[in-house]
Amino acid sequence: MSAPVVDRLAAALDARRPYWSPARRFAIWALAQLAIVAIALRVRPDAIERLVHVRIALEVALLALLGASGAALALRAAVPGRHPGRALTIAAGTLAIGVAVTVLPDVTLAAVVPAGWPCAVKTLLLAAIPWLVLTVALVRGAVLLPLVAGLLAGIAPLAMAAALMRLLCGNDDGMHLLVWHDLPLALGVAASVAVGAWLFVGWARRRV
Amino acid sequence: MAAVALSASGVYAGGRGILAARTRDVPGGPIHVSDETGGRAGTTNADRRLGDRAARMARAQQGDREAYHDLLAELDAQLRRSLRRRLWPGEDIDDTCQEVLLTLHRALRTYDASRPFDPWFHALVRHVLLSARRRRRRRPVLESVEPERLAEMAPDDARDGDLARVVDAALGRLPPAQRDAVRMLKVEGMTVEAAAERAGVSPGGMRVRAHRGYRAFRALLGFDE
Repeated sequence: MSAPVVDRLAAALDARRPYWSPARRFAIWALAQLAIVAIALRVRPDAIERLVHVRIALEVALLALLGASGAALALRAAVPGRHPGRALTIAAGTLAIGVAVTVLPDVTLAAVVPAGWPCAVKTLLLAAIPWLVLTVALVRGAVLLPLVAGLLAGIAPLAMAAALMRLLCGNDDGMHLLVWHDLPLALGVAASVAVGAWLFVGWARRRV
Repeated sequence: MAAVALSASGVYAGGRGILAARTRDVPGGPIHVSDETGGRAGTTNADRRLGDRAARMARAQQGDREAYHDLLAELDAQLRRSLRRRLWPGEDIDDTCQEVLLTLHRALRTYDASRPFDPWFHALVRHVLLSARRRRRRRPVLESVEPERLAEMAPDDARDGDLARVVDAALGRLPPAQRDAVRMLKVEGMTVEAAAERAGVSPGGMRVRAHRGYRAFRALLGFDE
């Protein structure tokens, strides 16, 4: 029998504020994300004019959709029984591939890669705060699939940042986009997976 | 109401390798951890009781120890009934139930009282079972060794009756965490709390390690044959 364990756990119980629902946390994340978009567009009001190009508008819309759905799924991953199921993960994966195919720039190997590192830095900076918001939410929850949660927590803010950078950066050269926009996104997602694998399992090691 | 069941299709059949919350397609049948009163007449009671669990969890989140104690005891009893014939060889029902309860305690605040209790609880049970099996796959497999064979494996003077050497050789074959637990508790005579402090784990975790260590140790010495 686990009677001693039951006694000990009951004795160790203290009142705890329930974990905020994924919907509530998504609202907080969306607010943080909107604040960043608003600040960026206030600094560069001309960026919005790039949306008149259908291709760019489509890319931005797809990236924003990927970011929002990634955040929603990531936040569900923090609650046992609500973590994204196989169907949802497949749907998100399909969307990600769709985005990649649509957004994948028309690269010419002969193109010279310009020194576009500021775009990479800006992408990562724009993603930093929303990523932190998601990560804090996930650390406070009970993540059962840390790698998936890390992946989604990386995709969400970086896709949003990439969408924003598509407006802020006027360089449409394929190689520039691939190296200084898409590569930081991929590396950032990989870093988020690594951080998630380490950080999101902490709840299961908490002392009782 | 359809009984919510935790099936273990892949794990027990050695197939897909995952646990799925389904009520069919389960070689050996599902693991029922929800309340079962059976038949239509009992459905209302089952519903009421499942709702009651959600209510008790909500009270537990507010610090009601009595409600929490009742709930844990009820879940423990049902888990034992459900898991008894479903565990893999070498898996211990005490360890599994204890691990599930500890995990539930750690994840307590993530339960949303406005939602059904069972999907939340089943996800934790699945997680505990899969994590334990993943850990077992990563660890070196402990072979059960005949005492005579163990003596052969030990240094020469062990064959001359040096039991301490034989025991030491068996200890050396335990996974490091279990070996340290057995050494600290049985060789050095430390208390569970002190050993837990030194190993950097909770006292409960230390008990689990020691318990697994004892069983593996017995198997190595051939006492479980």
